Amino acid sequence: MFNEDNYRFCTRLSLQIMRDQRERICQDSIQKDVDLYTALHEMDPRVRHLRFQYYIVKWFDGHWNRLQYLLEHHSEYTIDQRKQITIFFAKKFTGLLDGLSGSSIMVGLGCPDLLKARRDILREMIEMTEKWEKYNDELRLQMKKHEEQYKALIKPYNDQ
Amino acid sequence: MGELFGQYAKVAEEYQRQDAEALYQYEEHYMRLLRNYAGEIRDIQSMMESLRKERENFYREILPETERQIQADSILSAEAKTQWIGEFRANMENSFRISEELISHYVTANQKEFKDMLKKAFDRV
Repeated sequence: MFNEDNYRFCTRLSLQIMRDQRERICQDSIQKDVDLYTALHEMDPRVRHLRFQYYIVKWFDGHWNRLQYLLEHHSEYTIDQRKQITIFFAKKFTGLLDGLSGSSIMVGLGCPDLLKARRDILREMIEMTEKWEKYNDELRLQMKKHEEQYKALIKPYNDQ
Repeated sequence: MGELFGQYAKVAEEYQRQDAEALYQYEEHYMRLLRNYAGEIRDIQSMMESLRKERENFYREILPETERQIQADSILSAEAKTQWIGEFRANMENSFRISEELISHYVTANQKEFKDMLKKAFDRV
């Protein structure tokens, strides 16, 4: 049952996550985050594109990781609240993913299945709410896998 | 003129008293509901104000500062500079859009709840 109190709770927590991640990308831009500035200083346009993708995907996934962090650090949240916020945020995260898909930086993905994989898992999570924990684990695993793939793709250029 | 408005004078006195009583009760419920929702109204105002200020700060301070820093770096290619500024702005806008949607849905949910409560109160009068 999705009552009014849960709706307020989910909205406030989601707004906090969005704000935290905006702050993150602003700080990275001004304080010269190493991954972002390595991309900016890359001379080869193809490699630069890949490095920008790596940074943006990491920032985008950071939204979901921030949610996990907040849930892990608030033991007072009930299991029902955890379920509600995860499914609620999955819908907003899908909206964010749709916006990201239209970005020029996501053209020619280093991990071609990245957007589809994220979207499929999120859809399953939203549709089969009783299995939210399983899909949450799958999504986190998928994120970890893609991060490793990007690192492997970038590594040869770091060594040059 | 007397003929024109004559029909309105025919309402029986007891009904007029009941209407006044009903209106009073309705207003009492309405004011009570407003008092109960005062916190929510303040919260919504605060959410909207906070997002508006954040967006204003981004366009007034953060984006120009980032552009200034990047433009000052002579090693960076013009293409890289343009690419990042465009991505930075697009991703921030995408994020602002989701936050606006969150607040908008929150307002809609509160309005519906308020209307439902008011209707219940009205039905009782």
